[in-house]
Amino acid sequence: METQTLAHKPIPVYVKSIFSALIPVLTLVLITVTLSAKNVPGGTIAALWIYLLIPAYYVVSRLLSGKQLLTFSHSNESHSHEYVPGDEDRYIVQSINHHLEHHESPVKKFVKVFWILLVVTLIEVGIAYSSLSKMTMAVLFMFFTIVKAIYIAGTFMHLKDETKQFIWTLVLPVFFLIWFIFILLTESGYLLGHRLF
Amino acid sequence: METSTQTQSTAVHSHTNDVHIHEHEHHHHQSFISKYIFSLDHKTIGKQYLITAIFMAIVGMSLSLLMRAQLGWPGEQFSFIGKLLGKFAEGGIIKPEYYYALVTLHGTIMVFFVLTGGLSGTFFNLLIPLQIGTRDMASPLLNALSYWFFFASSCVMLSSFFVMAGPASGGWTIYPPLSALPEATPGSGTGMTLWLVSMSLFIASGLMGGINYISTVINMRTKGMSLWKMPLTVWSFFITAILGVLSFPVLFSGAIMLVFDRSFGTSFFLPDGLVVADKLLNHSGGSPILWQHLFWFLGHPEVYIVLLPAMGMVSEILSVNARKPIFGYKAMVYAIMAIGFLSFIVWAHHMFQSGMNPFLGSVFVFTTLLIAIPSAVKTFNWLTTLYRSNIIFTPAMLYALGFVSLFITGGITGIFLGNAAVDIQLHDTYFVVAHFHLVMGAASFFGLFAGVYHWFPKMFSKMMNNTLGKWHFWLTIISLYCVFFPMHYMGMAGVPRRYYAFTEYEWTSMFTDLNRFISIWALIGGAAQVLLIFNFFWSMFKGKPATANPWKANTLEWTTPIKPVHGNWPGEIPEVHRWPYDYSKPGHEEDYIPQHIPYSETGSSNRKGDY
Amino acid sequence: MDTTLSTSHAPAKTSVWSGGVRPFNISYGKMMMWFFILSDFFTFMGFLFAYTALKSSHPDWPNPDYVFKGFPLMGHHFNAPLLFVGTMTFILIVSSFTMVIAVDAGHRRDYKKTVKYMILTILGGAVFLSCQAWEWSHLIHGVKLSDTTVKMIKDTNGNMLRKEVPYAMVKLTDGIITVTPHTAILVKPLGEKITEEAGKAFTVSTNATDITLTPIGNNKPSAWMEFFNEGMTFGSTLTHNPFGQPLFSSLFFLVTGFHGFHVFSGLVILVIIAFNVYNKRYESRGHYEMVEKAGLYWHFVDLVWVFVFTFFYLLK
Ligand code: HEM
Ligand SMILES: [Cu+2]
Repeated sequence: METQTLAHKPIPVYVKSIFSALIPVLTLVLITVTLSAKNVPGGTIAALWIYLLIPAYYVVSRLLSGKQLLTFSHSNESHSHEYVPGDEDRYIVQSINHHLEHHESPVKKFVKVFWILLVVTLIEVGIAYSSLSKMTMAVLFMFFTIVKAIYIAGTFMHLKDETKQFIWTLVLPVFFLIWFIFILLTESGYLLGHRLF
Repeated sequence: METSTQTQSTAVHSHTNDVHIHEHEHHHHQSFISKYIFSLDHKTIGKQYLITAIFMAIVGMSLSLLMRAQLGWPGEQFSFIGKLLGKFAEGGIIKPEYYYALVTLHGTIMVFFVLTGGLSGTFFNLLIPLQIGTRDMASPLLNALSYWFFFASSCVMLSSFFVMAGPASGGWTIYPPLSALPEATPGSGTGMTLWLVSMSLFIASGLMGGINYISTVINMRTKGMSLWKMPLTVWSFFITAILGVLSFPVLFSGAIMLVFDRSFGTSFFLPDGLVVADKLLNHSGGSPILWQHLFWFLGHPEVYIVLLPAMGMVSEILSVNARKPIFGYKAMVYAIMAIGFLSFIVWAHHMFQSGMNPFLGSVFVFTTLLIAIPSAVKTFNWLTTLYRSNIIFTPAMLYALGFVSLFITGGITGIFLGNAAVDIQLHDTYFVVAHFHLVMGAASFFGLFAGVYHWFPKMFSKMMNNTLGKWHFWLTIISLYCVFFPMHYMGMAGVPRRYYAFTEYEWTSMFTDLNRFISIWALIGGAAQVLLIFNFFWSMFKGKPATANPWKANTLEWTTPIKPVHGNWPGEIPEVHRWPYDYSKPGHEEDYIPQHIPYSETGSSNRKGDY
Repeated sequence: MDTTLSTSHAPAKTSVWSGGVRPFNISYGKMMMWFFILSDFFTFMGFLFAYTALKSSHPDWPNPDYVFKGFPLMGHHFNAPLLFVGTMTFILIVSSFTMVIAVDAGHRRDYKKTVKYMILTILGGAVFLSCQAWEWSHLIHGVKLSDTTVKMIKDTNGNMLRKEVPYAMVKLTDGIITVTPHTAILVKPLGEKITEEAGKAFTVSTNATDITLTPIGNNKPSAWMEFFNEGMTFGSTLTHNPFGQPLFSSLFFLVTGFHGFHVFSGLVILVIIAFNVYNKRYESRGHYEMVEKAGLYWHFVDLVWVFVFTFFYLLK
């Protein structure tokens, strides 16, 4: 039996397209307007809008297309990971064996990641010795840090082998940290101003 | 390979089954200690949390009554207070320093120990496994440890009453420098140290509990219990647990830095030029506002950690006793999620007047006011659930209704306070006290009360006394409103909070009568709690025996035996076929259809789109 | 009422979220470990963000290149920023690598190989901790000054003037000196501020890149003499930092200490589990998931180090 969706009056295509176009445009406009305002830390504002408008965009577009906001479905996968109370050990054995059967020896992969981590670290040290500007360096360092983090979590911690939803479960909260650091930087810039002048 | 895997896994399978059966038999003859004290059973742990929380609530309430005695009758000599507090209240008058200790410990105990540890600990433990249909928490051991850490942290917090200089006294937000300089005030010494130790234990406890709750909800739901079939209780517990796991660690890092400032001479939160006892301190370069950021990054999610579980339980209880499906189930879930999300990006609304970058004020006004949207969604959904329903006024239902009332009254003022410009006048006045007591303190307490009255039969297999319950409700809500509503006027007149006495100026001493009025009602409200405590313990032993499903509710916990068993269901765990809110469904002869009844048995009431 | 629906009843559409299924296809033990790690990550980020916030509000924050430039046995004049910490990072990466092999061997229930690689990991962790111990003691024991006339390299921050105190904070390769137009005052080399008067013992001359302090006569106040004595050393502690803002060293010791504590507890866990593996404790369970969970923790320690490395050593 198929799930019966409530009968919708279809929303005209032009309404949908106007709305979907409006939101990214609005985002950009707001970001540029606020960035060009005087004495306003642009990063915070940009973070704010991205923070709020991307979820808003998601919600509005899902609603417009008559879909549910969140669908917790993930079909096409055999439910070998069925949960029966008290059989955790059997399940773990099964999934490890399943893993071993379907993947060849991962050691090669580990060696590769090992070299990547090493080389990226060396590159970072190289950058530190270079005469790039502070700002450029900071951006590069953050970039390479995230690269390393992704390799460690992805391969060494086997996060890449987990389901997409689990990965998102762990990654999404990190956005709160991004917001946090934007706020703290805005704050400390203000404080620096007080210290200096 | 294939075959060997098979045999291996079957071997292991039968092995674990053996263990399970063995465990079952083992549990029948247990000593009192292993059954009630070091139990690993989630229901027992829930009860342990509840008993501890009741004790802490009594302590917290007594502290508030002591404060009210001082505020209502400033300068009056109460000989029993003198006897109780000894040198902290010589001649029966509480000392100003000790008043701050009372404020601090009252706030801390109420917020963290009663409404976070107690409320979450009790109901998450009791209800998550029962309502999602599983035999216990993911890790019963961690769960028990979580309780014992909570217990230890409560003991440490209470022990601070017995140190020479008195407990911590910098407010429950422990802002530096009062918290960072041991020599700043009497309470900044050992009392503050104990506060920090206690909170560290508390955070460890919360973390162990939190990861357990989350993993249990994700992994261990029974067959058919899809996310969209979870009761709103479980939804709210789930999101709350996530909030806790993400926000407490940031407080933890702040607390560690505070410990370093206190004990090792660093200056993370201490600026240049502090003078204590005419001595210029060596500290320099730190920022007290940084502490406020770190604290409120936890602090604001914390108020929702307190409130969301109450919201979830109230939604459930309203629906059961209105005999109507909850209105807008999915909207309710999205609102919980939205509140959870927003609660992480609004914290600086507590800092509008702290001297932080004023530009941030405007950012945080915006995000703060956004919270009004999901809150309004929830409120209107509760109201529409009640609309044209046949309400059954059980004590639990009365408390749920009281919750909605308090949430609206207290929530409205949040919109005023969320505006940075209005907050210039209202910040740190009694207006704030009124706001957060109504929306967070009283409302969450009402959620707690509602939960206790509603799930008491599940906890103790006995019914509580309804008449006493109703008396308790009416006395409590009337005294709450009489205590906190007048505070709005005082706040708007500018009366500051955390003041020892208001006798100094005419514009504050004109509230003397009002303060006395408030204090009298606080005493009445406090006395009313005796009804609950008596009812609770009396019913535990002498109450009417409970029936299997006394409220005719749909959720799974009411399918377990009346006398709880280890593993919750003696036989198979029931499978779930429908959402938990099939109340008064047209076509069905009874006005409720429990979640485990398959559609094949309810032909007369099935509708298109049901499954 | 649609009765036909109910009689010809087909099972509802199922998905991994519909209950009775592990939606992430992951055991709860591992899942709890992951959530713990997420939470702990937030703790570390609390520290690192506090570092960033304090750093970007202070003009006199030291440049890590001046601070971390030594290497064991290379003497005080050795100047190779990042060399030592790069080595430490390398060691941690190696130990992460051996750990991942141990986990893989555990999956194959090859207990000998598991133990072997866990021991290698433990060794790596121990070496890392020793390195950290060296770095701490190096910083605490501090640097030696050898010239009576100090040549100073003016930092980009060198000219920053405070409004209320018209001093310039000038970074010296080995210390920080507050300079007024006529005097130079060493700030807190050993904890105390040296008096104005003492500062008058020097003349200050500046050009575009250097500031030179020349002692006037031979009657130098004792504190200054001590400072400029041949071989005088001074180091960083939680509260004092010759390289600039003391908060830098406070945070350095706090955060690397906190990380070191994680390494240490990771080592304890690894030792216990290696012991259990060796005694075939996990054989009866049919799997070595404990090794995997310990591995997750160990890699997390590595992951955090990547961030500590960036915040403390790389970002200027
Ligand atoms: C019997 C009911 C209660 C009474 C009579 C009461 C009374 C008070 C009083 C007089 C203050 C001090 C206000 C000031 O001087 O600034 C206070 C503060 C506070 N109360 Fe309550 N309270 C009650 C219940 C609660 C509950 C249920 C909570 C739980 C959230 C709570 C949380 C707080 C907090 C967080 C503070 C602020 C503490 C601080 O400033 O550090 N109270 N309360
Ligand atoms: Cu808030």
